[in-house]
Amino acid sequence: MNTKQFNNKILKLADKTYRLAKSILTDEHKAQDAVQDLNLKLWEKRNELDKIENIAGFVLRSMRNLCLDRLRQKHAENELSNDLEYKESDPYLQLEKKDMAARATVLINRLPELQRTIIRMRDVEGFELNEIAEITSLTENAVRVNLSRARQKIREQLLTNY
Amino acid sequence: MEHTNNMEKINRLLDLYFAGETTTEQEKELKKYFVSQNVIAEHKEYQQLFETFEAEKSEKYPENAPKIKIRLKHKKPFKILIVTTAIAASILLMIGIFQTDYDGSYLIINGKVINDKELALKIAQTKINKISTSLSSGMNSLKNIDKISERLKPLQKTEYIKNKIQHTLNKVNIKL
Repeated sequence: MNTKQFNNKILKLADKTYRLAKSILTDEHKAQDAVQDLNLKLWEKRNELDKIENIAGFVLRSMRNLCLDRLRQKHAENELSNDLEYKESDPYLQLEKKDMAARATVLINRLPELQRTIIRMRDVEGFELNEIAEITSLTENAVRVNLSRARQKIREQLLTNY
Repeated sequence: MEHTNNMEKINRLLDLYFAGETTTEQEKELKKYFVSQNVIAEHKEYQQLFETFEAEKSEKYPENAPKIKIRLKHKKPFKILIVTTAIAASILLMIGIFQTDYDGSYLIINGKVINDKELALKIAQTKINKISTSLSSGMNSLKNIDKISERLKPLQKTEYIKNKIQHTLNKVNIKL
């Protein structure tokens, strides 16, 4: 893959990879770092990228794996559980919670990582279930189950707190 | 009646949506409804969810965020010069080839332009004949060079004779 192809195929995905990283890491600065690190890694391996058929799927899967590594590293450092569920500790987000427009974002961010990744891939990015299955390395059925659970949880909380 | 039917359809789609059983097309229909001004009160709690999805969709990687800078390789100036020269030469060659069909002036004699093709050919033919005649007479003179060369052949033996004489004199111990 030459420079022009790399620009057109990889760097053009920056918005999608950023949104995915932000959803998993729940921090915009960490998400930006993750995007930059991923792009550098892919640039170093650009000669191998030509062999990949679904480049967008590959890039998003790589982004998710990189973010999960960071979360695991963070949890190991803090000696926290392996539960990757988002903990709402940021006072800014507490204030944000009061804002009705951001309430749904908070509810999505409270979901376990896999569920919030799947619901955003489907409802924000508009991916088909088989595409999400490829990115998350799950079966299509497992994706459907997680999507359903994520939406049900959101619905319950919306109805309870409204 | 139509409104009721529409709401029934939306409710049915919402149930399918939360069960994770909607198609992407059905989800587009739901999103279209929730961003419209026709959302009924009982659906307001879901509206913020679909609005959030739409808002997140438009989120971009920040302009001021760190980016890896990858520049396209610039061609070397020397390479560009060679390519440009080659193109220019090709164009000139093409012009030269197509100039053979030039239909303007044919001959200039003492600054006078002759546009008459017939007359130009006649004058050119006369000049060529003249040159040809001069060359023929010049060639006749050159034929004499062969005769001279033939006559001078005995002289080529001079060195041999001189060496023989020296050899003989050496024998009698006399130096020239």
